[in-house]
Amino acid sequence: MIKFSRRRRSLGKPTTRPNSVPSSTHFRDPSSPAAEPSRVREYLSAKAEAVGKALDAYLPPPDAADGGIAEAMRYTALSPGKRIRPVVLLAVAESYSAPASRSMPTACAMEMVHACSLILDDLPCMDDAELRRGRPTSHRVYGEDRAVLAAFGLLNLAYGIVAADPSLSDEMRTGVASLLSEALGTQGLIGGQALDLTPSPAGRNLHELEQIHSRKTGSLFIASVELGALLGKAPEAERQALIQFAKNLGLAYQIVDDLLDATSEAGATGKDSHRDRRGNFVSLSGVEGARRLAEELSDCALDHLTVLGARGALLRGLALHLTGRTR
Amino acid sequence: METGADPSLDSLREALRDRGYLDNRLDRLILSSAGSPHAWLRGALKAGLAAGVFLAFPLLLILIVQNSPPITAPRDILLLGTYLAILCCLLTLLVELAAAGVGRIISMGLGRRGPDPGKLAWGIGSVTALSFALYLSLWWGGREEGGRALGTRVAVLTFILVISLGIGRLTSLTALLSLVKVDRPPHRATPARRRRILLLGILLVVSVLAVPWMKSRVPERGANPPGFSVTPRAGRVLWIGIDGLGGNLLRGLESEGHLTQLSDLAKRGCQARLSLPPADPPALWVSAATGFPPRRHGVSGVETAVLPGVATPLAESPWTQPLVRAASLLNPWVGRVGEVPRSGIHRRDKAIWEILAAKGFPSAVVNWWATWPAEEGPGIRISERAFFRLESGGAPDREVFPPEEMTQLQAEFLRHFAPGAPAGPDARLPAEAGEGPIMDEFHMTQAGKAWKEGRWPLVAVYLNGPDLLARPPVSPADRAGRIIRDGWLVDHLDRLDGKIADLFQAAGENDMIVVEGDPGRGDSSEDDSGFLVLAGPGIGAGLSTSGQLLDVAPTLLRLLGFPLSKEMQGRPLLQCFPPDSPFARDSPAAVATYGQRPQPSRTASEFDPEVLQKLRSLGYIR
Repeated sequence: MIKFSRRRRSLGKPTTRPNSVPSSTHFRDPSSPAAEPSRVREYLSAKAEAVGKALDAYLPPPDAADGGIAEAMRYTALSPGKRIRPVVLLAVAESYSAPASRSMPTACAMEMVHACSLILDDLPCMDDAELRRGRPTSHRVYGEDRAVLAAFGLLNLAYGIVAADPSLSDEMRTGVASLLSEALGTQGLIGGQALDLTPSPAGRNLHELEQIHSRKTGSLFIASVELGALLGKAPEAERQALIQFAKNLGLAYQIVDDLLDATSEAGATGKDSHRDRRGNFVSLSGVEGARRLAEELSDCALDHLTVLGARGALLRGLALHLTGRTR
Repeated sequence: METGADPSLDSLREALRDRGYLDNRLDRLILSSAGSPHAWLRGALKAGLAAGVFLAFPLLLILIVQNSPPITAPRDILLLGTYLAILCCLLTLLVELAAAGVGRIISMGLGRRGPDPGKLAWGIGSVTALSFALYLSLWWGGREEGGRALGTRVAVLTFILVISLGIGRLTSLTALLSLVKVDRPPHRATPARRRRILLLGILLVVSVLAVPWMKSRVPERGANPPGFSVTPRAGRVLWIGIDGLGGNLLRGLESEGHLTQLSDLAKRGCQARLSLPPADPPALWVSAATGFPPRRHGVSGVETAVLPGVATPLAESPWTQPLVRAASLLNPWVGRVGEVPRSGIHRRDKAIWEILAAKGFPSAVVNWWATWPAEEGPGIRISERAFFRLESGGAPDREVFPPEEMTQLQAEFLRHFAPGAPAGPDARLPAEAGEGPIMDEFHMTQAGKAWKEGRWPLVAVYLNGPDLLARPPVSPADRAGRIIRDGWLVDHLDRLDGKIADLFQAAGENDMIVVEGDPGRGDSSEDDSGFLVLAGPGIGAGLSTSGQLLDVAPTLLRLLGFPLSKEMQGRPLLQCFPPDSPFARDSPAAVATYGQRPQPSRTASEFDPEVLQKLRSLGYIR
């Protein structure tokens, strides 16, 4: 479902991509980005590893007697990915000095939900994808029946983890569950996928593209940030600013992804023919236009972090990293 | 790399904005300072400048449109805009710096444990917005304009609200920058630069186009009314205005046996009591001559402050006075803000003699307020500056028309009034009398000369009269008593009274004499009023009536056989005319308007400082 993850992996590190959105002359201050790119990269890999370990612990161990469902769940959930959503969630919570023990279970739940969506998205009745994160998709390995069950297993486990998390207060637990449910619901991921299935022979217009993006991709991204703010007990004004940050950054990320599609060699990106047929932000505004939109959106996202002051340094660095900018 | 403007990108951007992405450019303009070592200072400067322009632009528009006449000269608009922008930016800069300072103090005092910076900043912004709204509303409400039409009030209050909210928003952003401890996020240029330039360009084009449009909307000044007919009158009119001689003083003097000729004139003719608005002498006497209230004719006081370079006279309004005052504070950076005496340059409406001139009727006008520069036209104009010029010498500057009259006036001035001259000033006059009585005598002599020449349908003369004693230390309350007690002014008035009688004697059988008096400065209390005495054929004997100041001009038009103007608020004093009088019977159909005077080309002359000095010595300016 969330395709940029798949392709980005095949491109290697975003900061070294030859075809990433170039830092234009707009960004001319030679001094100091927020958090050093090297620090951001370190943070990303360290947290991705930590999330991987935690997921490993939460997921049921492989068992020969369970019909292979545990293995199928682990296959997708533990597949090597950047774990952007849980890492962003952890980073936001960390900005408010929330202990990792409090945020890690929710971060894992988020990644499980994401993994669930990937399995479903790849099914023959949907995108019918063969490769995911460089490996055969779940249904190619375990069959459609088990893949569907694994997806539901992950979804179910995600809510179970939240429900059983002893570090969350009752209020937080219901908050987390409700945010997850919203992000997944008909106004979120499920609704977005349904829209994406609707054929549009004439190509998608901005309204359709935005609707699909904001539900399919944006909703989980916003939810990650919002969950982090919830766990970090962020003040209301900052929570609102973070939501705006996530909203703008999410779309910038999406457009950067579209740009990669448009400007990379087909073989190098594992280009999805679906996308081109349906239209994307690059086909709407051209490469240069999309590039500028992405810049403006990420600028706007960064501006919203102003309210956080020094606490926003890491998020600022992450945002620059995600949109392929050095500063 | 920037390529050409991309409309599809713009529309895409707008569409995204509609869907909640991107956001307010203004916010980003201020917040993009975040990360620099002095983000709060830079933010305050940007916000101050933005708020200043934000405040100045609508103010300028209002000033342009509500001025009467609307300001259409591009140079005036540019200068006013510059003054306003500088003033507003300075004001808002102070506000923003104060907000940033408060933010700094709070953030230093509270450290990290303080309340949510967003909420604090919002609070600071709200307080600023509220203060602006409150101050602007009170300021507006405290003005006369507060009682204007509902539409105007709604528009002004909306404007006040928008300005206050805008400035409040900017202030909250500034405060936010000073409250948060920002490390160094990347500096970003605003991507919409080109679009903003385009917008400014459009605004400029619209403004440039708006000037001819507004010009076309302003009724062409100086245009003569379409053809109208005049009823020929056999007689001429002598109109004498005596300042400071109100109804109470007149009755007081009459009861003591003074002003016998004037009493006699009133008995032979008609006397009207005139109600007057409280205003300075120039405003009242120009109202009498034009038939319009000061707000319209534009001469609302003795002197006015002007912004250098702005040629269009600024009408009195709640906007102009603070502007001029504030600009004078900025002196000399903004430029010298000067005081100039109000004159014909500020008078927008035609006086009676100009209406007469439209039909080729000549008049002799002596010393009437706001007649400088002496307008070209049939007849003689001795403006209110002529005497000052004669006294101080120097090259004449349109004090008299036709200009060659000046030579003759100079000769007469020397013969009669120069120190040591045989007919010099009355030695009995005390020092406090100043040169007022001399001026009156000189002007009365000129008017008498013109009257006796017999060739001017209208002779009008303004005399300073007892108004000269209005200056401190004599308070308006004890002025009448003082005048009667001191005696010299009574003697002066009696001399004038004698001259009026002489002129009445010199009048032809069809000629009319009109004497007008008003209580003068600071004495137009409710129990006092002005008066108008009319005497001559066709005017009922021993009649009395009451009217208002604005009735004087229509009454004179009626006496001279000219149609009334529908624009004038006053009506002729018909009660003074018996039913068989030609003034009651024959009147030409009223005209819609007599039009206004041509727009002056400048607001000041080099002689202004001297004139101001003279007016000050006469007590007109304190």
